[in-house]
Amino acid sequence: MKGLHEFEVPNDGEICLCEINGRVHSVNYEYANLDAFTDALKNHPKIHITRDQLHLISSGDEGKALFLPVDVSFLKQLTQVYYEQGFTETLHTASGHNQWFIRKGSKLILDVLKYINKVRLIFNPNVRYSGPTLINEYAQGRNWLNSTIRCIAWHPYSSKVAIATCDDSIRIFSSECGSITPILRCKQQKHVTCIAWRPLSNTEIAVGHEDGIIIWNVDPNSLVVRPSISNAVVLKRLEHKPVISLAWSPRGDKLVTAAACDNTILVWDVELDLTSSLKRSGGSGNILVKWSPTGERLFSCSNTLVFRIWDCRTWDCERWSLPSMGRIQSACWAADGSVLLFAAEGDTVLYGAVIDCDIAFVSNGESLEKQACPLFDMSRVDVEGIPLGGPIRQIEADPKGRHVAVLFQDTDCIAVFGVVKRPQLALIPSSLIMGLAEEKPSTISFIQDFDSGSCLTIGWSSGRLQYYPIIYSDLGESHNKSVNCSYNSFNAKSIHGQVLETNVF
Amino acid sequence: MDRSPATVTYKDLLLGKLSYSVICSVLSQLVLLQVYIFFTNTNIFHPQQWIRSTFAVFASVSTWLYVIPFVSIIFAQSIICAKDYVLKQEYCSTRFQSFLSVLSIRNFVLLILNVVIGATLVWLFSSLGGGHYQSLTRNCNKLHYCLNEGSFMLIISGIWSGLYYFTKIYVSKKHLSFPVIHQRKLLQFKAQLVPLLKESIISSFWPTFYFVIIYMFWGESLADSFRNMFSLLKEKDCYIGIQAYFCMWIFAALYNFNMNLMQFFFNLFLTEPVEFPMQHVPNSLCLQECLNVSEWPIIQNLACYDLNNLALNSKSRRQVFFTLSQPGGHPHNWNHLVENVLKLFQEYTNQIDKSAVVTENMPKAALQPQNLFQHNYPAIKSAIKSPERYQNFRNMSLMYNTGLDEEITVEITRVPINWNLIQNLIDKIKQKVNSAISVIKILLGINFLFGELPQANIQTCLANGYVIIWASQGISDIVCASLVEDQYGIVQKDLPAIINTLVQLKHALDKLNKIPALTRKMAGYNDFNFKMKNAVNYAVRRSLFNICKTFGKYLNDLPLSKDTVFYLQTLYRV
Repeated sequence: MKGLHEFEVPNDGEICLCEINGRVHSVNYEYANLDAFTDALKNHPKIHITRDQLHLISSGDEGKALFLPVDVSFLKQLTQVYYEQGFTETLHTASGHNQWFIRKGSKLILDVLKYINKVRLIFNPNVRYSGPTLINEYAQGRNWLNSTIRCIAWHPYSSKVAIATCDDSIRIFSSECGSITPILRCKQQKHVTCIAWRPLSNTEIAVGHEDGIIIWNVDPNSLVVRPSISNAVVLKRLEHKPVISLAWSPRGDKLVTAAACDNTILVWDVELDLTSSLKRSGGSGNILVKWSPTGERLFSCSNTLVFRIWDCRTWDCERWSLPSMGRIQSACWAADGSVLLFAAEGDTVLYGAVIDCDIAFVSNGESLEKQACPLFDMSRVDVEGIPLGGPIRQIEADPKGRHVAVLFQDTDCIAVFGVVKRPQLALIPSSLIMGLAEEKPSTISFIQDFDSGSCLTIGWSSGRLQYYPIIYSDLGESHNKSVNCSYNSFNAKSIHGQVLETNVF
Repeated sequence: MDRSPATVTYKDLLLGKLSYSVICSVLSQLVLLQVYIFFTNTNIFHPQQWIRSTFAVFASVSTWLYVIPFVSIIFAQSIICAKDYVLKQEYCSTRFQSFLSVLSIRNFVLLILNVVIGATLVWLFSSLGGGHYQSLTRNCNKLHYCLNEGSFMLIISGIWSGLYYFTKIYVSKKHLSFPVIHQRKLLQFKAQLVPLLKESIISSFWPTFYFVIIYMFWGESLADSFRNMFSLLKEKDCYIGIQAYFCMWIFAALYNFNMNLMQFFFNLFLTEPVEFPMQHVPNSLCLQECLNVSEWPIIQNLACYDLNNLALNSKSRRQVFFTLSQPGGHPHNWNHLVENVLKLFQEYTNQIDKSAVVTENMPKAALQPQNLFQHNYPAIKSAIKSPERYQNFRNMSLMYNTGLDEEITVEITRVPINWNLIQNLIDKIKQKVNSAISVIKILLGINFLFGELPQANIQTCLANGYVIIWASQGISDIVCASLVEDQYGIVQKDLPAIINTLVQLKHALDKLNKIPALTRKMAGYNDFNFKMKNAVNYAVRRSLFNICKTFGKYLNDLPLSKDTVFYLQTLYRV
C-alpha cells in the first residue's frame, strides 16, 4: 500500500499555492499571491474572519467574579438565581434553606422532576443528549468546539459561500464586489453542525443545529444584513437531536438528516414539514449522510461499525460493516458517484469501494462478497521534519470526484490526491497544503461551481479561508470548444455534462 | 408496484387497493383483540398457562360470537369510508353548503356506526378481558339484578368516544397524505405503529376528561333511567374506583387507535405507487390520460407521482416518450403527454387566477388593470401555438387552433364607457341600493351563511397541490433529460410552450402570496394551506430553475416572449 512518504514536501519556508496542469507551485510565505498564477479566482470573495468580528455569546458570568457576595434576603436571592440560572437552580438553592418546610418542599419537587425525566427517558431515549462535546466528537471538522470556522458550504451554481462560525451564525459571502454579507442568526440556532445549499434554488440554505434544522431563505437583492427568522422555516422533532449531518437530494425536493442521538434517519419534505423515517437496527445514532452526485444512492453511517448505502429508488439498503476498527469518521463519493471513499475513526487507512449502479442491487449473494479495498496508508510520518498523516478526520471530494482532500486529526498538513478509477481504483498523491505558522486547519470544502478545474478551500484556525485551485488550462479550452460545436445540434450527445455548468443569459 | 396491466381500468385498480385496505383493517382488529387478551391474562409465574389461557379465550365459541358482529360493523364502516378517500370531495363555496354537506344521510349512518363501534368495542374488550367490569349487570341479592355502574359508565364512554371522534376528527380529516419516500409497506407500518399508538393515547386523554366531567353531572340520571327501563336495582355501594377511569382512558385510546389504524391502512394502500402503462390502449388506463382525471383525484395523484418517478429514475420508461410511432413516425406518446400536462397546468392557473381575483375583492375600477394585464396570456398562447413560429421545425406538434384570432377578439370586446348623465344617475342609485343591501346582509348574518367563502376555492386548489408539484417536477426532469436522451428533438418543439405555461403558473402562484390569509403564518404554524402554497410555489420554481440551468445557453434561441425571458432571468439570477 502506498504511504505518505510519496508526497513531495515543499521547500522550507514555502507553501503550496496552487496546482496548474499537474504542476504544484509553491512560493515563500511573504510572496504568496495567487493572482500571479491564475485569474480564475479573481472574483471569489477574500475571507478572513477575525475574532473581533464574532459575536460570541456571553454567559453573563464574567462580571460576577469582581463582586463580593453580600447577604440579601432569601426571596431576593431566589429571584436572582431564577433570573440568572433558571427554575431548577432556584429549587436547588431553596433546598439548602434552613427552614424545614421550604427545604423539604423544594426537595420533593426536585425528586418529582427527576422521576418525570426518568420516565421521559424511557419513552424517548434520545432526550439524553449530553451537549456540544458529543458534537465535537462526531463533527466532520477538526476541533469543532473552538475553531472559528466550523463549516463551509459553497453554492452549487455561483461563487457564493456560506461559512458557519463558532458564534452560531452563518455568514454569506458572495463574489459581487460591494455586496453585503448577510449574517444568519437566531435564538433557536445553537451549535451549528452542518450547512448545505439547496439545489435548484438560489436562495435557500439548510442549517443543521443542536435542536433541528432551519431553512433560511436569503434574498440576495435585499439590503437586510440580518434577515429575521420570518424568512426561515424551522424544522424540528423532539427525538431527532442533535442534527449532525444533512444532505439535499440533487433535485432539491428532499432533505435527509442524521442525528447523533437518534437511530432514525429522517427524510423531510421541507415545505410541508412531513417526514419519512429510514430506520434499521444497529447503533443509537447516525453521524453522516451523503447523497451521491447522481442522486441514485445515499450513504449513511451509524455510530457503530455499520454503514449503509441506500438505493434512492426503492429505499432498500445495502449493509456494510467494518471489521472492528470503530465507526466511520468521514466518507465521500468520488468519480461521479461510482466510488465511495471512507475512513474509520482513529484509523489511518483510506478505503475505497467501487459501487456501480448495476452491480450493487442485483442480487444479495453478490453484494455480500463485495469488499472495500485499502487505498492509501496515512500513518504518521515525519518528512523533512514536518509531521504528516495520522488519524483521518475529514475527506472531501470535488464535484466531479476527480480529486480528494484529506484533513487529519492531529497533524496540520492537508493531503490532496487525484482519483483514478481505471484500471483499478487508486489514489495518486498530488500535493500537501500547509498553513502559515501556528495555523491549524479546521475544515475543508471544494468549490461546487468552478469551471477551470477544481478548487479546494480550507478554513484555518485563524479564521482565514484559503483557496487551493487545481487548474487545467486545456480543460477550459476544450470546454469552450465542445460548447461551440454543439451549438448547432441541439441534442448532441457530446455536450452532456458540460452544458450543465454555466449559463449565458 | 410491479403491475404491468394490459387492460386495467380505474375500477380494477381502485378495487384492488381498497379491498386490501379493508381486509387489513378488519384483520388488525382481530390482532389487536388477541394482544389485548394476551395482556389481560398476564400470569408471570406461569407463562405456559398464560399463553394457553390466551389462546383458549381467543378460540372459544363465545368469543367469536362477540367478535363477529364487531368485525362486521368495522367492515361496514370501512366500506363506507372507502368512498370518501376515492371520490372527489364536494366543493362547498358557502358556509351553508358545507353545513348541509355535513348533514347528509351517509354521514348520519357513519355517525351511528361510529357510536355503535365505540360501544361494542368497550363491551367486547371489557367482557373478554374479564375483571370487574365484565358484565353490565350483577346478581346482587340472589333474586334481583343490579346495574354495574362502572361497566355502564364505560359503555357510555365508548359511545362518547365514537361521537367525539366522528365530529371532531373524521369530518375534518379525510385527505390522504403521501409519504415523503415510498418504502416497503411493512417498513412503513413498523415505522408508523408506535407513533400512532402514542398519538392515540395522548389524543384520547382530553375527550376522556370531558366525559368524566359530563358524567359527573348527568351520569346519575342516565343510570337511573337505564335502571328504570330494565327494572334493575341500585347497588348498595356503587363506588366507581379510579381503575374505571383508567380503563376508560385505555378504551378511548384503543378506539382512537382502531380508527387511526383504519385510516392508516387506507393511506398505505391507496398511496402506493403504481406504474401506469404509457401507450394508449382502448379501454385501459394510460398515464397521459390519468394525469387529467379530476373526478378520481387518487388516480390523478398516482399518475402524477408515476410521472415524477419515471422522470427521475427510469431511463427506459423515459425513452418511451422520446420514440416515434412505428408507422408514420409521430411522437404520439410525447404529444399526448404534453397536451395533458399543459392542460392540467392551464386549468390550475385559471382556477387560481379566478379565486385570487375573487378574494382580492377589489372595486370594479381597480379590476380594470387586471384585465389589461390578462391580455398577456392570449398573446403568449398565440406565441406558443401559432404554427408560423415553427416553420423551421418538423411539424410534429399537434395542430392547435391558432390563438391569434382569440387575442384579437379579446381586444375588441372591451366595452366603451358612455358618459351619459342619466346613466350616471342610475348607476349611483344602484350603488346606493347595493351598499344598503350589503349592509343588511352583514347585519342579518346572511353573508356569513350564504356568502362565498374567500378561501374555499383556493383551498380546493391547494388540496390538489401534490398533482402540480409532481407534474411540474416530472415534466421538467423529462425535458432536461431530453437534452441527452431525445434523439429526434421531439421535446424541443414543445419547450417554449412548457416554459410559458410554467411561467404563467408561477405568476398565478405569486398572486397567492398577496392573499392575506395565506401570507401570515398561522398560530401554531400548522396550517396546511400555507404550507401547501409554499410547496407548490417552490416546486414550480425549482422546475423552471432546472430547465434554465440545463438549457441556459439556448434559452435566447427559443421563441419566448420578452416578459418570459425576463422573468426567467430574475428567477435564475436571484
